[in-house]
Amino acid sequence: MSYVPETLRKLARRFGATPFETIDVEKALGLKRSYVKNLMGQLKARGWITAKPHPSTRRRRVYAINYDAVGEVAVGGRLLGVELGEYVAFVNHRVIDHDPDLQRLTQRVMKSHRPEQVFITNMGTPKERISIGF
Amino acid sequence: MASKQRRCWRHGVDEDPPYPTISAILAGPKKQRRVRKAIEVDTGFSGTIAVDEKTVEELQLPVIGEITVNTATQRGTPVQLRLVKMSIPELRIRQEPLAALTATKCLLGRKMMMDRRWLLDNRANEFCLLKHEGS
Repeated sequence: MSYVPETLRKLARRFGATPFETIDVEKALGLKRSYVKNLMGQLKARGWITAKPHPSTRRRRVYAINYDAVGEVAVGGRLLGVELGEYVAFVNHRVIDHDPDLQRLTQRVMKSHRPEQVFITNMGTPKERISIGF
Repeated sequence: MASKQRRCWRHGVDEDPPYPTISAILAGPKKQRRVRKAIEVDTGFSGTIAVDEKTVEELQLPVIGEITVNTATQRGTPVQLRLVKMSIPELRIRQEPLAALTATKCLLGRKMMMDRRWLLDNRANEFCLLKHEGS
């Protein structure tokens, strides 16, 4: 797996929909500041994260995963080589939730949505990839 | 630890050799549609549940997605997901919504077997859930 999608996968697991700063990524992934800045640049260039000025100081940036863009990528995920490695749930073409466990995701999503609203798929190869003997 | 109790299900005998089964109640989103089935237990299936086309039609199970799975001969085979509600009182599963793979037969996979003790008795043609003291 390329390191950029792998970073996205880790950020999605760690932060979900919560905004984060580069220092949070440094701590969460144990990476050097210069490396994280480079990664953020690559993720931003692909549209997979968005950046806004920090509310209290313009010198800092606040990042968030752009699930709309990630969702679009997921549809053709195998073509683009995106490997989040999880099951994802779409409602109205937007990723609303994701989980490495298919049934956990299904049960969570079905609490708040009707079956006809939901489309579940795998983005990349989940660790719990299902195999069937025939 | 010695087994104190068992709950056993008879093997399916419509194939030779017979195969282990567990009896489950499957239901669609419309509550009036439900069916009790002796579902084949397949340890070669790493997932939770698969349903056949007959069950899909009978219960009018809606499509809720599509995933890729590995088969014995191919990687990344696309398979439709259907929403089914399953009850197996002996496993304390009641009306649990599950994403079921659409397959050529109904199956229960290894995920359903996890964290429990089982006995495959091919002499008595029974598949048993073992219950132990304190468990």
